[in-house]
Amino acid sequence: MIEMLLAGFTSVMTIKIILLIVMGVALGLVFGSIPGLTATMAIAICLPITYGMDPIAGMSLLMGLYIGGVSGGLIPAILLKLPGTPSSIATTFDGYPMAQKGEAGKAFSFAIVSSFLGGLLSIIVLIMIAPPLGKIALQFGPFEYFAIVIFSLTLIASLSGDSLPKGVMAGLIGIGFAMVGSAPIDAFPRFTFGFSSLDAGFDLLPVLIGLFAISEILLVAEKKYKNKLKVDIKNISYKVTIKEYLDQKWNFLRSSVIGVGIGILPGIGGGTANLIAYAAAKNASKTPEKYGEGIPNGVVASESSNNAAIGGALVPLVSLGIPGDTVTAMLLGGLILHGLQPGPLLMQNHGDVVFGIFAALLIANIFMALFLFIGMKGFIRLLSIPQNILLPIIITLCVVGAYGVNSRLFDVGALLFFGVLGYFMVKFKYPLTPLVLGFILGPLLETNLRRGLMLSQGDFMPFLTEPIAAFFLLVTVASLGLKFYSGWKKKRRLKVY
Amino acid sequence: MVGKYSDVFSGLFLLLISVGMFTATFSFKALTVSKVGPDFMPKIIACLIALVSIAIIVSAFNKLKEKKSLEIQTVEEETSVTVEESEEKTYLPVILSLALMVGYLILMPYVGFLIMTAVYLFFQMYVLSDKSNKRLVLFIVVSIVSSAVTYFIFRSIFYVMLPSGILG
Repeated sequence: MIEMLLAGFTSVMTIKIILLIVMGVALGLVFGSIPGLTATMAIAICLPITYGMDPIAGMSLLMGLYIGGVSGGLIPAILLKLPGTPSSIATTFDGYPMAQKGEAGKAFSFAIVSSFLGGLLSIIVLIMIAPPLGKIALQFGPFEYFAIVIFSLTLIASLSGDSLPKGVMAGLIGIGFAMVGSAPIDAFPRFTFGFSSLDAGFDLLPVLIGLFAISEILLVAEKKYKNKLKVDIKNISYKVTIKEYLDQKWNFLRSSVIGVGIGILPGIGGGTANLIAYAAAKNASKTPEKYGEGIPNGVVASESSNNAAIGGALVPLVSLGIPGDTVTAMLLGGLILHGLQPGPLLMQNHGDVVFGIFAALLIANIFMALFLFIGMKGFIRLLSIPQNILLPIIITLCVVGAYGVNSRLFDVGALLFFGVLGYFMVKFKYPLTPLVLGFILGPLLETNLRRGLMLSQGDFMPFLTEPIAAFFLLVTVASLGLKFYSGWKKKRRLKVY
Repeated sequence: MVGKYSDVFSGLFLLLISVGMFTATFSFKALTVSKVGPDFMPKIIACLIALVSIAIIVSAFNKLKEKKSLEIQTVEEETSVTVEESEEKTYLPVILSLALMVGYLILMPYVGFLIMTAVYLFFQMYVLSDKSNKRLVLFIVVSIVSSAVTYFIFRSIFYVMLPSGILG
């Protein structure tokens, strides 16, 4: 495995790819730091740029964007109490009070160092467990795959948003949209309503960009965004002693482990990891009352866990081809665009790309910390770019990206359609993530179901009797039952009061 | 947008969709000899959508009932009407933005990416701004520059052949 990693490094260590990673990290940090722009959007806009590149170069750029996008959120979180991305919500709890006390620089130091270390730890975990997991997954047949996909889908649906039926519904809608076009196995065109443009179905990219970027601008239009961000960027001192860092070691370790663990579970990701890690740090602390008043521990917990979720979220993506959150869904789209079939075979057939990705992550992680320390002033200045100017430009970039997929305006129409859909879903309080994952996993579900039925000559029983498949289906039922039970208990408690 | 009945509306809408989806599957033909054809999964998904939409509608009605028993009806209804009216105004920019995007898309093949993008950018910025930050000269400059930069970067570096329209 060490040789593989070294080979990965040699394939990434060219000037062109290093430059791409640097560009990706910088752009990711920009997107992460400007509230309203997310890592998901950054990757969506850059995906079309990677068309012409070879897979390793393209994926390296995307990894830079991922790491930068998750990390950039700490800047506005600390300075403005505005989380740049959902991953840094908990950073505002203590980061902003620290900045109020004149300790913004110190908060940055803690945040950057813990982001770096959290990221590093999680990438190491990723490198350690993804390859063996992929090897186990190689033995999975259609029955096992079907069960795992069902498991991931229900987990995602039940964990995103606060209403279980709405999460499930969003997932089902996603599966429904994935059915438009040729059916798997026998290629019968479905739900095309006679439009030949729909024969190949909806392309992933317009769906993703539409749901996450176009809907965003419609939501901003509603608010008439007023830009009044004034930040004092003079005299920031980054000084933190080694001892102060060392005091955080247990907090850091606990938060990182939480981040990795939550990252691995499909459907939760960094947006939740930082909140859970913050709560855990507060619970474990001897002085919980200091949390929220500007204690570095809070910043460390939040920032180490959200970056640790990166490596975690990549584990199921690399080894099983199952994305854990929207960003990894986007990365999955990137793999497909480059002709790499995600799934357990990825490691075997394209091990060079996978280890190239690992190497790129490690390099991107270093650049992330460097950029944040050196370029902080520049990023802070970016915060004052008015959104009413920035968002329209991003829309046009989305249009170019959607158009570039097949060079046809039909995809731009699809982009708008999914933008409007995303807008209405947000308005009616339906979560978007399950839709995307349903869209990606739906075909996988159907293909494996039908392939399995061909294998068993029409017998449904193997889906329930094959041990691994049965295990995952059982866990699915159990987790759904638990969700129902806790919902029911909550309701009962409300009634008592 | 539709106030307290939003879940009922969205549930009903999805229920209709599922019925349409289910009927559409009857025209699917199996091209291979196997137990389940291309209509199997769509049928299941349609049924599940129908079931879940009913669940959403039912839980929405339950919530409404709880609310009604808790609050004094008349007062609540009056206030909610005024709130909805004042909210309605802010949807104008959303509708305008959408109209701009649709217009941008429809006109692009005829007018071309370069011009259409600059025009779209300007109006979109205008729509998104309130009185205090309508800096028209800045908008014009940014629109033209960013349209030109995008066009040439994607055309000459990434080889995306954007519609050139009347300039082509």
